[in-house]
Amino acid sequence: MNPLLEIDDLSISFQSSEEKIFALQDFDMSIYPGEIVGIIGESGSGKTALTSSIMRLLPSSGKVEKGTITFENMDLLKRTPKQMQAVYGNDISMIFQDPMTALTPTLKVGSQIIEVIRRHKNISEKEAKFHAIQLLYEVGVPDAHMRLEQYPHELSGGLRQRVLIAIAIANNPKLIIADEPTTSLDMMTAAQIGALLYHLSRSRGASLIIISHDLRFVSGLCDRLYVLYAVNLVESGSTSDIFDMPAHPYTRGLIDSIPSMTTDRTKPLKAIKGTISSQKKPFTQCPFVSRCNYAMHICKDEAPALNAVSKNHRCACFLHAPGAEKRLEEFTHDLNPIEVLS
Amino acid sequence: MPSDNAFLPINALLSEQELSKEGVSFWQDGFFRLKKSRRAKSALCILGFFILLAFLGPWISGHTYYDINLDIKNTPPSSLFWLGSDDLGRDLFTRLCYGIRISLFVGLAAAVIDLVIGVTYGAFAAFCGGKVDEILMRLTDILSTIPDLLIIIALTVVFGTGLGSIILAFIVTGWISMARIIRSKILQTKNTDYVLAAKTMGASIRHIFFHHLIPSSIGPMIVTMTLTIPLAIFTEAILSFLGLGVQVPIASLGSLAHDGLTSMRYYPWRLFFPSIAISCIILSFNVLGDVLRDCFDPQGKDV
Amino acid sequence: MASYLVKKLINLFIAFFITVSLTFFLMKSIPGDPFTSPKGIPQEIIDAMHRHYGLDQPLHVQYSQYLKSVFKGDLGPSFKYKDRRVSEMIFSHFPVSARLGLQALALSIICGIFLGAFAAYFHKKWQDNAIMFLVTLMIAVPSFLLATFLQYFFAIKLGWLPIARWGSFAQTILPTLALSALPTVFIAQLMRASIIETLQNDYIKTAKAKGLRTRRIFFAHILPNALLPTLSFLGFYVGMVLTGSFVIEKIYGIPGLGQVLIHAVNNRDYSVIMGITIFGSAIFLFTVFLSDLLIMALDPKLRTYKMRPINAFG
Repeated sequence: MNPLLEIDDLSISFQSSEEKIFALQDFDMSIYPGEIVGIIGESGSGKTALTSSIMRLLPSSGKVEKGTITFENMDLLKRTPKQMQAVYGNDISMIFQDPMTALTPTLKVGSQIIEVIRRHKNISEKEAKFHAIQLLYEVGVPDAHMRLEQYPHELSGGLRQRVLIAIAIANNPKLIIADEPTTSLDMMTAAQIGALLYHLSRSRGASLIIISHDLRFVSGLCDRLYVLYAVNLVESGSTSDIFDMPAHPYTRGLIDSIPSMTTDRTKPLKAIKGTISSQKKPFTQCPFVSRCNYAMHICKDEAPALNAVSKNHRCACFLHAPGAEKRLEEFTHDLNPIEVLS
Repeated sequence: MPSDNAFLPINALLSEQELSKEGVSFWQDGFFRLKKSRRAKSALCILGFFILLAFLGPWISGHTYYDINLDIKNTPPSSLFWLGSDDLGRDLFTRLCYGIRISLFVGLAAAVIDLVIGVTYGAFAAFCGGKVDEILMRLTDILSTIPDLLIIIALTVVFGTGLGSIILAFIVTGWISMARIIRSKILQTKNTDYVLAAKTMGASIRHIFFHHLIPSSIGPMIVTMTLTIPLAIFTEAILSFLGLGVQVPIASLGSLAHDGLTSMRYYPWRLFFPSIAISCIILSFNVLGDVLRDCFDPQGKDV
Repeated sequence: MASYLVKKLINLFIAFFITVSLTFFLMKSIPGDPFTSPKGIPQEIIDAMHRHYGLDQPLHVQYSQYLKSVFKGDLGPSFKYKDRRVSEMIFSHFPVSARLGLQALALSIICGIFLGAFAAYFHKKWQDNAIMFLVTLMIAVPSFLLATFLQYFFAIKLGWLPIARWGSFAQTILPTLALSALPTVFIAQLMRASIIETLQNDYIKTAKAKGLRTRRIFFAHILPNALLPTLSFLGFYVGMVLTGSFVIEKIYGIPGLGQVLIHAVNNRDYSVIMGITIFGSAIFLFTVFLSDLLIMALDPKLRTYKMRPINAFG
């Protein structure tokens, strides 16, 4: 089966008045129809650059240095923005992060849903309105008739997020990108939105890319995961593989830092020391080296490549290189089995 | 081939943390950008030129601004009269220089009034808050509903024409935008997290006011002053042009333009030189104000 | 929504009231009175004049009389032309100024919006820089310079358009252009900044991600939001047009309100001057009110003032 979206060797940079900063480096990803894929990364990891480049929303200071983004045999980066206008909102859609600011304040909610429908389908205003009501119902917005006539500021955050989802699924896209769908929501609402996204994907056969730094959310929802750190892909694999056996110290650090019901409450919470730094030139060492508990000399001398740890589980870390077995054992030994949260 | 100790652990933690660039203070950053700006430099040069002209011009021209000599009236620029003469044989160059002096004086007066009245008023209103603030602001709203020119004309009628009335008009309304801007900046700063943090650390209100709120408004203060000056010069020029400003024989750039208007067809230089002078002065101040705003008050987008 | 409007109206009336009062007291503080003349008119005649104009009444009586007549629309007699009322003088010349002003305003709003949008679209590229340079230049050039330049160049030198006076449409072209120049660049500057700021918002990203056509995004998503700050300055622009018109009318010999005013100043016709001041303020206040109305029409948050956000189920 051919992947729906394939990203190959993507590198993106941003040019400010003084310097050039790399936002993403040598990124590979593929997603198949119907899959739910998660991209984990903190701020500065490159996830925003990634989604912006798929949606061709990079600011003028951003540049794609190299790589391809192929959607159904079409190289997205080679098309003109005008050509892409027929694709976005139709085959590929995106749900933005902050529902409080993602809707236009001066337009009614109904107009904002109807406009995306009528842009891509030649149907009457009435039919589109009917369609919009059905969509609102599907995403769990009650009193849809009334909501259509309201303005965004009259809706709560959770409702607005649902409206954004309705807009995204309106034309039955094959691929939906959800950027931090739960960041500004409380836990209860986040769980509901998660369930909604899952249901929508399965029922419509759409592929989902979920960008998040919330591991719990992602673990319950996604089939596969990609872990981004400091503009590089450091680990990828199925969710169960990654949670059972995190191959990269960063991933391991992230998972360890999740407090659970069984965490010892007398000890301080585990955190990863230090902070991420911005990249001004291609890496000559492992980006995580200054924060890694298992760093070795080679980690400072060379940049690790992505290698297979097991079937469909890849990791960019010298711990898995031949010769590092001793350190690898220490690493695995410290590992505690994690319950995969569902 | 990796070396022997390639896989041995190193203590690479935290000692490696690359320090980002040393922090730069707001003022340092602002001045740096100011120095870099070519526009600012050109504007300052032009202004410097005019200031020199204003003070040294009459001294080196050898003429006065009031000597009448009907034999040589309306002559084009020559070696005797560098910019020509007007219809009473007076030297235009000298009169222009005096006109520049007046414009600069008006600008300076407006800036001072802005500073003294505007800042005090706005800061006071912001500091008091509540009812006092509301009343004070209501007052300024009402004052600003009367178009400036009309106020000046009204005052001119009562107190006679001339610079006095113009300055008086500034005292009545010229400081309003400064007051508003300072007040809004202080209120904005009052709500920022760092002031909140200072409060939680027990800083007294007085301390917060003088150490945080006022310094934060210096940026908008400088910018507004630099933009009020050209506005004041502009207003004076228009008034003198309409015949309501300075009277003969005193020359202001506006009144010189007024004199030159009627003879535009035959002696265009009489209109040309004062107009160019005033445009350059106003332009330079505006550009300077723009650059200052980019450097020191990036959020100030109000007209 | 209604309460918001009512509040604004009340403010307006208070402002107008204060303006009228200030005008009255200012006029009364002028040393001497309009009837003093060097000709040595016999005292009885002066007294008769005073009685006729009600100037012999105590101050507070004169004040209330004045207020009453102003609200009736009567601004008193001209002091120079004793048989003419100020209101009549204003209204006979106002239509000319009004026409000039409205033409200039309309032109500057349309041009300003599109110039600003154009500059914002090409932000950071040469078109934007060129427009901004032009804007900065225009702001510095006093209106009388531009007006005379236009007159000199297009009317005198090239002879394409009439030099002065008022009457035919062609005669309105140069004055309108000259008058609209300054508001145009102010509006352009504000619109440009406003559009650039609006473009940073997330909802524009959402709109783009929907694949909407650029034209739709501009007119439905960007413009209404960018227009709001510009509208709040409408009063300011009208003020600009108002004051600019004095200069333009003088240069082009247009028989409008400006001419009346300057004439009155030269003749020490105080009541006319004050009358025009009051009239000007009234217009100004009216425009401020109008702009508030427009903003309310455009900003949904103000329209739905009374409705509370319905409690969410999600």
